[in-house]
Amino acid sequence: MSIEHRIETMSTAELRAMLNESADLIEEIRAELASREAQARELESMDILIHEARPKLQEIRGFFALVLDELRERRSR
Amino acid sequence: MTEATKGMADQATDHDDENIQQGGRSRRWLTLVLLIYCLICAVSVIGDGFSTATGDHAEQLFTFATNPFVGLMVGIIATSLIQSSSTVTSIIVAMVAGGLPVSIAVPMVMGANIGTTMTNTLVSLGHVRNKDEFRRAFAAATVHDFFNFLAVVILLPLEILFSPLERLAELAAVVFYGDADLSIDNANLIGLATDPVTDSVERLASTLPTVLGGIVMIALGIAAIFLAIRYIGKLLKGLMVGRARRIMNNAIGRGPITGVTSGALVTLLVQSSSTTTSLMVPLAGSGTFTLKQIYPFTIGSNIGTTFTALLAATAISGANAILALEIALVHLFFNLFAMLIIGSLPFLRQLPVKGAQRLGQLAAERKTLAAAWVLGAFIALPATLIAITAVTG
Repeated sequence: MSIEHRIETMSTAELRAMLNESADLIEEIRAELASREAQARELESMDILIHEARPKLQEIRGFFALVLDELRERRSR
Repeated sequence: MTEATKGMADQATDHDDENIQQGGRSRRWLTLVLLIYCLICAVSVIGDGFSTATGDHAEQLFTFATNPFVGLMVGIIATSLIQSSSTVTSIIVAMVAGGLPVSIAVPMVMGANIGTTMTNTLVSLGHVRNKDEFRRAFAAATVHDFFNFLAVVILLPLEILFSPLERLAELAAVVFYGDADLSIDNANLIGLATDPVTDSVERLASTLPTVLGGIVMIALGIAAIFLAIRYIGKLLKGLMVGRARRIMNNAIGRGPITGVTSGALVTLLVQSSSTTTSLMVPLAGSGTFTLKQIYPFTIGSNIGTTFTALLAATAISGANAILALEIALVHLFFNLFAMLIIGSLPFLRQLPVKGAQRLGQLAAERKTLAAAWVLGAFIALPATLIAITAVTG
Protein backbone atom coordinates (compact mmCIF):
# COMPACT_ATOMS: atom_id res chain seq x y z
CA MET A 1 0.00 0.00 0.00
CA SER A 2 1.46 3.38 -1.02
CA ILE A 3 1.93 6.17 1.57
CA GLU A 4 -0.61 8.39 -0.28
CA HIS A 5 -3.23 5.64 -0.18
CA ARG A 6 -2.51 4.93 3.47
CA ILE A 7 -2.91 8.64 4.31
CA GLU A 8 -6.28 8.81 2.50
CA THR A 9 -7.62 5.89 4.51
CA MET A 10 -6.47 7.20 7.92
CA SER A 11 -8.72 9.04 10.38
CA THR A 12 -8.21 12.76 11.13
CA ALA A 13 -7.04 11.97 14.68
CA GLU A 14 -4.52 9.48 13.37
CA LEU A 15 -3.26 11.96 10.80
CA ARG A 16 -2.87 14.69 13.49
CA ALA A 17 -0.90 12.26 15.70
CA MET A 18 1.26 11.27 12.75
CA LEU A 19 1.94 14.91 11.89
CA ASN A 20 3.02 15.63 15.48
CA GLU A 21 5.32 12.60 15.49
CA SER A 22 6.82 13.63 12.15
CA ALA A 23 7.43 17.16 13.42
CA ASP A 24 9.29 15.72 16.42
CA LEU A 25 11.29 13.43 14.16
CA ILE A 26 12.24 16.29 11.84
CA GLU A 27 13.29 18.32 14.87
CA GLU A 28 15.45 15.42 16.09
CA ILE A 29 17.06 15.00 12.66
CA ARG A 30 17.79 18.75 12.52
CA ALA A 31 19.37 18.66 16.00
CA GLU A 32 21.50 15.60 15.10
CA LEU A 33 22.70 17.22 11.86
CA ALA A 34 23.52 20.46 13.68
CA SER A 35 25.47 18.54 16.32
CA ARG A 36 27.45 16.64 13.66
CA GLU A 37 28.24 19.89 11.85
CA ALA A 38 29.41 21.42 15.14
CA GLN A 39 31.62 18.38 15.76
CA ALA A 40 33.17 18.66 12.31
CA ARG A 41 33.74 22.41 12.91
CA GLU A 42 35.46 21.71 16.26
CA LEU A 43 37.73 19.16 14.62
CA GLU A 44 38.92 21.87 12.20
CA SER A 45 41.01 23.27 15.04
CA MET A 46 42.70 19.91 15.58
CA ASP A 47 46.13 21.33 14.62
CA ILE A 48 46.00 23.42 17.79
CA LEU A 49 44.21 20.81 19.91
CA ILE A 50 46.71 18.06 19.17
CA HIS A 51 49.64 20.22 20.31
CA GLU A 52 47.84 21.43 23.41
CA ALA A 53 46.66 17.97 24.46
CA ARG A 54 48.99 17.72 27.43
CA PRO A 55 48.75 18.62 31.10
CA LYS A 56 49.79 22.17 31.90
CA LEU A 57 51.52 22.73 35.21
CA GLN A 58 49.91 26.14 35.70
CA GLU A 59 46.40 24.70 35.27
CA ILE A 60 47.13 21.83 37.68
CA ARG A 61 48.51 24.30 40.21
CA GLY A 62 45.38 26.45 39.73
CA PHE A 63 43.17 23.41 40.32
CA PHE A 64 44.91 22.47 43.58
CA ALA A 65 44.75 26.11 44.72
CA LEU A 66 40.96 25.94 44.25
CA VAL A 67 40.86 22.63 46.15
CA LEU A 68 42.73 24.24 49.07
CA ASP A 69 40.31 27.20 49.00
CA GLU A 70 37.39 24.76 49.12
CA LEU A 71 38.92 22.90 52.07
CA ARG A 72 39.62 26.17 53.95
CA GLU A 73 36.05 27.32 53.29
CA ARG A 74 34.66 24.06 54.68
CA ARG A 75 36.82 24.29 57.77
CA SER A 76 35.80 27.88 58.48
CA ARG A 77 32.09 26.98 58.33
CA MET B 1 57.56 45.34 -14.43
CA THR B 2 54.89 44.03 -16.81
CA GLU B 3 51.90 41.96 -15.58
CA ALA B 4 53.29 38.87 -17.30
CA THR B 5 56.68 39.20 -15.56
CA LYS B 6 54.93 39.79 -12.21
CA GLY B 7 52.83 36.65 -12.72
CA MET B 8 55.92 34.62 -13.53
CA ALA B 9 57.72 35.96 -10.46
CA ASP B 10 54.72 35.04 -8.26
CA GLN B 11 54.64 31.56 -9.75
CA ALA B 12 58.36 31.14 -9.10
CA THR B 13 57.91 32.25 -5.45
CA ASP B 14 55.01 29.79 -4.99
CA HIS B 15 57.15 27.05 -6.50
CA ASP B 16 60.04 27.94 -4.14
CA ASP B 17 57.66 27.88 -1.12
CA GLU B 18 56.35 24.50 -2.19
CA ASN B 19 59.91 23.18 -2.56
CA ILE B 20 60.88 24.52 0.87
CA GLN B 21 57.73 22.92 2.38
CA GLN B 22 58.47 19.65 0.61
CA GLY B 23 62.07 19.80 1.80
CA GLY B 24 60.95 20.44 5.39
CA ARG B 25 58.54 17.53 5.22
CA SER B 26 61.17 15.18 3.83
CA ARG B 27 63.59 16.27 6.57
CA ARG B 28 60.94 15.53 9.20
CA TRP B 29 60.26 12.06 7.76
CA LEU B 30 63.97 11.35 7.70
CA THR B 31 64.31 12.48 11.33
CA LEU B 32 61.39 10.22 12.17
CA VAL B 33 63.11 7.20 10.63
CA LEU B 34 66.29 8.03 12.58
CA LEU B 35 64.31 8.36 15.81
CA ILE B 36 62.63 4.98 15.26
CA TYR B 37 66.08 3.50 14.64
CA CYS B 38 67.25 5.16 17.88
CA LEU B 39 64.24 3.68 19.75
CA ILE B 40 64.94 0.20 18.45
CA CYS B 41 68.65 0.47 19.31
CA ALA B 42 67.78 1.75 22.81
CA VAL B 43 65.52 -1.26 23.48
CA SER B 44 68.31 -3.57 22.42
CA VAL B 45 70.86 -1.70 24.60
CA ILE B 46 68.59 -1.96 27.68
CA GLY B 47 68.08 -5.68 27.05
CA ASP B 48 71.85 -6.27 26.83
CA GLY B 49 72.53 -3.97 29.80
CA PHE B 50 69.92 -5.72 31.94
CA SER B 51 71.35 -9.10 31.06
CA THR B 52 74.91 -7.87 31.83
CA ALA B 53 73.97 -6.19 35.11
CA THR B 54 71.93 -9.07 36.49
CA GLY B 55 74.17 -11.80 35.08
CA ASP B 56 71.26 -14.19 34.47
CA HIS B 57 69.87 -13.47 37.94
CA ALA B 58 67.06 -11.14 36.78
CA GLU B 59 64.43 -13.39 38.32
CA GLN B 60 66.05 -13.15 41.77
CA LEU B 61 66.42 -9.39 41.38
CA PHE B 62 62.69 -9.06 40.71
CA THR B 63 61.51 -11.46 43.43
CA PHE B 64 59.82 -8.45 45.08
CA ALA B 65 57.56 -8.23 42.01
CA THR B 66 56.60 -11.90 41.95
CA ASN B 67 53.49 -10.71 43.79
CA PRO B 68 51.40 -9.63 40.77
CA PHE B 69 49.89 -6.68 42.66
CA VAL B 70 53.34 -5.23 43.21
CA GLY B 71 54.09 -5.65 39.48
CA LEU B 72 50.81 -3.89 38.72
CA MET B 73 51.66 -1.01 41.05
CA VAL B 74 55.17 -0.70 39.58
CA GLY B 75 53.54 -0.32 36.14
CA ILE B 76 51.02 2.27 37.40
CA ILE B 77 53.59 4.39 39.25
CA ALA B 78 56.24 4.24 36.51
CA THR B 79 53.73 5.29 33.83
CA SER B 80 52.13 7.99 36.02
CA LEU B 81 55.58 9.50 36.62
CA ILE B 82 56.89 9.24 33.05
CA GLN B 83 53.46 10.02 31.52
CA SER B 84 54.04 7.60 28.64
CA SER B 85 52.86 4.00 28.54
CA SER B 86 54.78 3.49 25.28
CA THR B 87 58.05 4.27 27.06
CA VAL B 88 57.25 2.01 30.01
CA THR B 89 56.08 -0.94 27.88
CA SER B 90 59.14 -0.59 25.61
CA ILE B 91 61.38 -0.70 28.70
CA ILE B 92 59.48 -3.77 29.97
CA VAL B 93 59.99 -5.47 26.57
CA ALA B 94 63.71 -4.71 26.83
CA MET B 95 63.86 -6.05 30.39
CA VAL B 96 62.15 -9.28 29.32
CA ALA B 97 64.76 -9.57 26.58
CA GLY B 98 67.36 -9.14 29.35
CA GLY B 99 65.98 -11.99 31.43
CA LEU B 100 62.97 -10.66 33.37
CA PRO B 101 60.38 -13.49 33.43
CA VAL B 102 57.28 -12.80 31.31
CA SER B 103 54.99 -13.79 34.21
CA ILE B 104 56.43 -10.94 36.33
CA ALA B 105 56.21 -8.49 33.43
CA VAL B 106 52.52 -9.17 32.62
CA PRO B 107 51.04 -7.27 35.62
CA MET B 108 53.51 -4.43 34.96
CA VAL B 109 52.11 -4.05 31.44
CA MET B 110 48.57 -3.99 32.87
CA GLY B 111 49.70 -1.32 35.35
CA ALA B 112 51.15 0.76 32.51
CA ASN B 113 47.71 0.67 30.90
CA ILE B 114 46.18 2.21 34.02
CA GLY B 115 49.01 4.70 34.59
CA THR B 116 48.58 6.21 31.14
CA THR B 117 45.04 7.36 31.96
CA MET B 118 46.44 9.88 34.45
CA THR B 119 47.49 12.27 31.65
CA ASN B 120 44.01 13.03 30.33
CA THR B 121 42.68 13.25 33.89
CA LEU B 122 45.27 15.97 34.56
CA VAL B 123 44.27 17.71 31.31
CA SER B 124 40.63 17.76 32.46
CA LEU B 125 41.63 19.69 35.63
CA GLY B 126 42.24 22.73 33.41
CA HIS B 127 38.45 23.04 32.95
CA VAL B 128 37.78 23.50 36.67
CA ARG B 129 36.70 27.16 36.46
CA ASN B 130 33.46 26.29 34.66
CA LYS B 131 31.32 23.80 36.60
CA ASP B 132 29.43 22.22 33.68
CA GLU B 133 32.51 22.14 31.48
CA PHE B 134 34.51 20.50 34.27
CA ARG B 135 31.78 17.89 34.89
CA ARG B 136 31.82 16.87 31.22
CA ALA B 137 35.63 17.05 30.84
CA PHE B 138 36.32 15.10 34.05
CA ALA B 139 33.81 12.41 33.07
CA ALA B 140 35.36 12.12 29.58
CA ALA B 141 38.79 11.68 31.15
CA THR B 142 37.83 9.26 33.91
CA VAL B 143 35.82 6.96 31.60
CA HIS B 144 39.28 5.79 30.48
CA ASP B 145 40.34 5.26 34.13
CA PHE B 146 37.18 3.24 34.86
CA PHE B 147 37.53 1.11 31.73
CA ASN B 148 41.18 0.30 32.38
CA PHE B 149 40.61 -0.43 36.09
CA LEU B 150 37.70 -2.71 35.15
CA ALA B 151 39.87 -4.48 32.56
CA VAL B 152 42.48 -5.21 35.23
CA VAL B 153 39.86 -6.31 37.77
CA ILE B 154 38.55 -8.87 35.25
CA LEU B 155 41.73 -10.03 33.55
CA LEU B 156 44.40 -9.94 36.28
CA PRO B 157 42.74 -12.62 38.49
CA LEU B 158 42.19 -14.78 35.39
CA GLU B 159 45.83 -14.31 34.44
CA ILE B 160 47.01 -15.20 37.95
CA LEU B 161 44.90 -18.39 37.93
CA PHE B 162 45.20 -19.65 34.35
CA SER B 163 47.67 -17.35 32.49
CA PRO B 164 45.48 -17.20 29.35
CA LEU B 165 47.13 -14.06 27.96
CA GLU B 166 50.65 -15.38 28.47
CA ARG B 167 49.78 -18.74 26.88
CA LEU B 168 48.06 -17.18 23.90
CA ALA B 169 50.94 -14.74 23.39
CA GLU B 170 53.39 -17.64 23.59
CA LEU B 171 51.46 -19.52 20.90
CA ALA B 172 51.27 -16.43 18.67
CA ALA B 173 54.98 -15.68 19.15
CA VAL B 174 55.89 -19.26 18.23
CA VAL B 175 53.73 -18.96 15.10
CA PHE B 176 55.55 -15.73 14.23
CA TYR B 177 59.07 -17.07 14.81
CA GLY B 178 58.37 -20.64 13.74
CA ASP B 179 60.36 -23.52 15.21
CA ALA B 180 63.67 -21.94 14.29
CA ASP B 181 66.54 -22.27 16.71
CA LEU B 182 66.39 -18.96 18.54
CA SER B 183 69.74 -19.38 20.19
CA ILE B 184 71.37 -18.08 17.02
CA ASP B 185 70.47 -14.80 15.32
CA ASN B 186 68.42 -16.04 12.41
CA ALA B 187 67.49 -13.56 9.71
CA ASN B 188 66.56 -10.78 12.11
CA LEU B 189 67.18 -7.85 9.78
CA ILE B 190 66.34 -5.24 12.40
CA GLY B 191 68.65 -6.97 14.86
CA LEU B 192 71.42 -6.89 12.26
CA ALA B 193 70.78 -3.19 11.57
CA THR B 194 71.02 -2.27 15.24
CA ASP B 195 74.10 -4.40 15.95
CA PRO B 196 76.70 -1.70 15.04
CA VAL B 197 75.19 0.73 17.58
CA THR B 198 74.50 -1.79 20.34
CA ASP B 199 77.94 -3.39 19.92
CA SER B 200 79.63 0.02 20.17
CA VAL B 201 77.72 0.87 23.37
CA GLU B 202 78.53 -2.57 24.76
CA ARG B 203 82.25 -2.11 23.96
CA LEU B 204 82.26 1.28 25.71
CA ALA B 205 80.45 -0.15 28.74
CA SER B 206 82.84 -3.11 28.90
CA THR B 207 85.59 -0.73 30.05
CA LEU B 208 83.64 -0.37 33.31
CA PRO B 209 83.12 -3.06 35.98
CA THR B 210 80.48 -5.59 34.75
CA VAL B 211 77.53 -4.54 36.92
CA LEU B 212 78.24 -0.81 36.57
CA GLY B 213 78.61 -1.24 32.80
CA GLY B 214 75.22 -2.93 32.65
CA ILE B 215 73.61 -0.20 34.73
CA VAL B 216 75.13 2.51 32.51
CA MET B 217 73.73 0.72 29.45
CA ILE B 218 70.27 0.53 31.04
CA ALA B 219 70.37 4.24 31.97
CA LEU B 220 71.52 5.24 28.49
CA GLY B 221 68.84 3.07 26.88
CA ILE B 222 66.05 4.46 29.08
CA ALA B 223 67.13 8.05 28.34
CA ALA B 224 67.26 7.28 24.59
CA ILE B 225 63.80 5.61 24.62
CA PHE B 226 62.34 8.51 26.56
CA LEU B 227 63.75 11.13 24.18
CA ALA B 228 63.01 9.08 21.02
CA ILE B 229 59.34 8.49 21.95
CA ARG B 230 58.94 12.13 22.99
CA TYR B 231 60.29 13.46 19.69
CA ILE B 232 58.57 10.79 17.58
CA GLY B 233 55.31 11.96 19.15
CA LYS B 234 56.09 15.62 18.43
CA LEU B 235 57.04 14.92 14.81
CA LEU B 236 54.07 12.65 14.16
CA LYS B 237 51.66 15.21 15.57
CA GLY B 238 52.86 17.68 12.94
CA LEU B 239 53.00 15.16 10.11
CA MET B 240 49.79 13.28 10.83
CA VAL B 241 47.42 15.93 12.10
CA GLY B 242 45.59 16.21 8.76
CA ARG B 243 45.13 12.45 8.44
CA ALA B 244 44.04 12.15 12.09
CA ARG B 245 41.44 14.89 11.53
CA ARG B 246 40.06 13.09 8.47
CA ILE B 247 39.80 9.82 10.43
CA MET B 248 37.94 11.56 13.26
CA ASN B 249 35.70 13.44 10.83
CA ASN B 250 34.76 10.19 9.12
CA ALA B 251 33.93 8.57 12.46
CA ILE B 252 31.30 11.18 13.36
CA GLY B 253 27.88 9.56 13.65
CA ARG B 254 29.08 6.11 12.57
CA GLY B 255 28.69 4.16 15.79
CA PRO B 256 30.96 2.47 18.33
CA ILE B 257 32.92 0.12 16.06
CA THR B 258 34.08 2.99 13.85
CA GLY B 259 34.82 4.92 17.05
CA VAL B 260 37.09 2.15 18.35
CA THR B 261 38.80 1.79 14.97
CA SER B 262 39.38 5.51 14.59
CA GLY B 263 40.71 5.75 18.17
CA ALA B 264 43.18 2.96 17.41
CA LEU B 265 44.22 4.53 14.08
CA VAL B 266 44.70 8.04 15.47
CA THR B 267 46.80 6.62 18.34
CA LEU B 268 48.83 4.59 15.87
CA LEU B 269 49.46 7.74 13.82
CA VAL B 270 50.47 9.98 16.72
CA GLN B 271 52.06 7.12 18.74
CA SER B 272 50.51 8.24 22.01
CA SER B 273 47.29 7.14 23.66
CA SER B 274 47.61 10.03 26.12
CA THR B 275 47.54 12.50 23.22
CA THR B 276 44.49 10.83 21.66
CA THR B 277 42.49 10.71 24.87
CA SER B 278 43.63 14.15 26.06
CA LEU B 279 42.60 15.56 22.68
CA MET B 280 39.01 14.53 23.38
CA VAL B 281 38.83 16.17 26.82
CA PRO B 282 38.31 19.80 25.64
CA LEU B 283 35.89 18.55 22.94
CA ALA B 284 33.85 16.84 25.66
CA GLY B 285 34.19 19.82 27.99
CA SER B 286 32.66 22.15 25.42
CA GLY B 287 29.77 19.70 25.01
CA THR B 288 30.45 19.09 21.32
CA PHE B 289 31.10 15.39 21.85
CA THR B 290 29.10 13.32 24.32
CA LEU B 291 30.63 10.85 26.76
CA LYS B 292 29.08 7.96 24.82
CA GLN B 293 30.78 9.14 21.64
CA ILE B 294 34.15 9.48 23.36
CA TYR B 295 34.01 6.09 25.12
CA PRO B 296 34.69 3.86 22.05
CA PHE B 297 37.39 6.23 20.88
CA THR B 298 39.10 5.84 24.26
CA ILE B 299 38.97 2.02 24.03
CA GLY B 300 40.50 2.22 20.55
CA SER B 301 43.40 4.27 21.89
CA ASN B 302 44.30 1.37 24.23
CA ILE B 303 44.71 -0.88 21.21
CA GLY B 304 46.60 1.65 19.08
CA THR B 305 49.21 2.21 21.77
CA THR B 306 50.31 -1.45 21.78
CA PHE B 307 52.09 -0.92 18.45
CA THR B 308 55.13 0.75 20.09
CA ALA B 309 55.91 -2.30 22.26
CA LEU B 310 55.50 -4.56 19.20
CA LEU B 311 57.93 -2.34 17.31
CA ALA B 312 60.31 -2.43 20.28
CA ALA B 313 60.14 -6.25 20.31
CA THR B 314 61.41 -6.41 16.72
CA ALA B 315 64.71 -4.96 17.96
CA ILE B 316 65.50 -8.03 20.01
CA SER B 317 67.49 -10.86 18.51
CA GLY B 318 68.80 -14.09 20.01
CA ALA B 319 67.33 -16.50 22.52
CA ASN B 320 65.02 -14.02 24.26
CA ALA B 321 63.53 -12.49 21.09
CA ILE B 322 60.50 -14.73 21.35
CA LEU B 323 59.92 -13.70 24.99
CA ALA B 324 60.17 -10.00 24.09
CA LEU B 325 57.56 -10.51 21.38
CA GLU B 326 55.47 -12.51 23.84
CA ILE B 327 55.21 -9.64 26.36
CA ALA B 328 54.44 -7.15 23.56
CA LEU B 329 51.66 -9.48 22.38
CA VAL B 330 50.36 -9.79 25.96
CA HIS B 331 49.86 -6.00 25.89
CA LEU B 332 47.89 -6.27 22.64
CA PHE B 333 45.80 -9.29 23.73
CA PHE B 334 45.05 -7.72 27.12
CA ASN B 335 43.52 -4.67 25.44
CA LEU B 336 41.71 -6.70 22.77
CA PHE B 337 40.16 -9.06 25.33
CA ALA B 338 39.24 -6.18 27.62
CA MET B 339 37.39 -4.58 24.71
CA LEU B 340 35.66 -7.83 23.74
CA ILE B 341 34.63 -8.83 27.29
CA ILE B 342 33.52 -5.42 28.53
CA GLY B 343 32.07 -4.39 25.18
CA SER B 344 30.01 -7.52 24.66
CA LEU B 345 28.36 -7.63 28.09
CA PRO B 346 25.80 -4.81 28.39
CA PHE B 347 25.98 -4.50 32.21
CA LEU B 348 29.80 -4.25 32.07
CA ARG B 349 29.76 -1.94 29.02
CA GLN B 350 27.72 0.65 30.88
CA LEU B 351 29.79 0.56 34.08
CA PRO B 352 32.63 2.88 32.99
CA VAL B 353 30.17 5.40 31.50
CA LYS B 354 27.94 5.43 34.58
CA GLY B 355 30.93 5.55 36.92
CA ALA B 356 32.52 8.42 35.02
CA GLN B 357 29.23 10.36 34.84
CA ARG B 358 28.68 10.01 38.59
CA LEU B 359 32.28 10.91 39.40
CA GLY B 360 32.04 13.92 37.03
CA GLN B 361 28.92 15.15 38.87
CA LEU B 362 30.53 14.70 42.29
CA ALA B 363 33.80 16.30 41.19
CA ALA B 364 31.97 19.33 39.77
CA GLU B 365 30.20 19.79 43.13
CA ARG B 366 33.28 19.18 45.27
CA LYS B 367 36.71 19.73 43.76
CA THR B 368 38.25 17.95 46.75
CA LEU B 369 36.76 14.69 45.44
CA ALA B 370 38.39 15.23 42.05
CA ALA B 371 41.72 15.79 43.80
CA ALA B 372 41.12 12.70 45.96
CA TRP B 373 40.50 10.62 42.81
CA VAL B 374 43.70 11.82 41.09
CA LEU B 375 45.91 11.41 44.15
CA GLY B 376 44.16 8.26 45.40
CA ALA B 377 43.94 6.23 42.20
CA PHE B 378 47.40 6.95 40.85
CA ILE B 379 49.54 7.60 43.92
CA ALA B 380 47.99 6.65 47.28
CA LEU B 381 46.40 3.33 46.22
CA PRO B 382 49.52 1.92 44.52
CA ALA B 383 51.79 3.19 47.34
CA THR B 384 49.52 1.72 50.06
CA LEU B 385 49.29 -1.65 48.34
CA ILE B 386 53.06 -1.79 47.88
CA ALA B 387 53.55 -0.86 51.55
CA ILE B 388 51.09 -3.55 52.70
CA THR B 389 52.81 -6.14 50.53
CA ALA B 390 56.23 -5.10 51.84
CA VAL B 391 55.09 -5.27 55.47
CA THR B 392 53.24 -8.57 55.15
CA GLY B 393 56.00 -10.04 53.00
